[in-house]
Amino acid sequence: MSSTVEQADAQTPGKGHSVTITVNNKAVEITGPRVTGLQIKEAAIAQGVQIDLDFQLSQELSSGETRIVGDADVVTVNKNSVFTAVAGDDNS
Amino acid sequence: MTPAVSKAVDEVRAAFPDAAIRVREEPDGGAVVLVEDVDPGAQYKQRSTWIGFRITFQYPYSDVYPHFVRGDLTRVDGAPLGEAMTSTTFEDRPAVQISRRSNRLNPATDTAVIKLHKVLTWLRSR
Repeated sequence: MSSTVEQADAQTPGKGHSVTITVNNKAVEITGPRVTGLQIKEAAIAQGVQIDLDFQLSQELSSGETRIVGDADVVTVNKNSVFTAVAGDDNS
Repeated sequence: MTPAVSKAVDEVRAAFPDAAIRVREEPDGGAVVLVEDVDPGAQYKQRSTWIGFRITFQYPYSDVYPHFVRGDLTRVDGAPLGEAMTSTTFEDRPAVQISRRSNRLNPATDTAVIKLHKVLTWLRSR
């Protein structure tokens, strides 16, 4: 498995190393390897990915499974980490 | 099924490897999908439900909407299920319809399996 979701503290920003992950099919540089879902969205937005902070983040695992990554969830990322952020839904 | 719908069904199968997945192909290229035995959350008396939905032939340019779960779903606290949930039938089964529309649908990223996860996350948050 390329990463794990944990309920723990992410590393202090600036103390890790740069990792290129994929968010909505675009390369995003982030200081990893341990980052929160919110940090992933913030990095993606700062680098031009057209999402908002309230979008729902999910990770595509190498097994083919998809899992939701909450803002406070900590994931360990590497160059193979692929994420998708989509807008939330509305009642109708 | 259209190639896009077939891919969506494969992604659902991969996301729920331990669940029985029933798929009924529709003549126009869409499909009806039923995922058996998912946990709706601790706030419900029933800790297992099926969840069903239709992926239309227009997918991914159409929303996967609405979703359906078992018709006898009830809350532990006795409260009504609340907004966006109504009683109906789906594929000849008594069902609760969950009406959560993706008004900002992005066909490039909004997949059927992500929508399914979003609906389950919402259901478990009620």
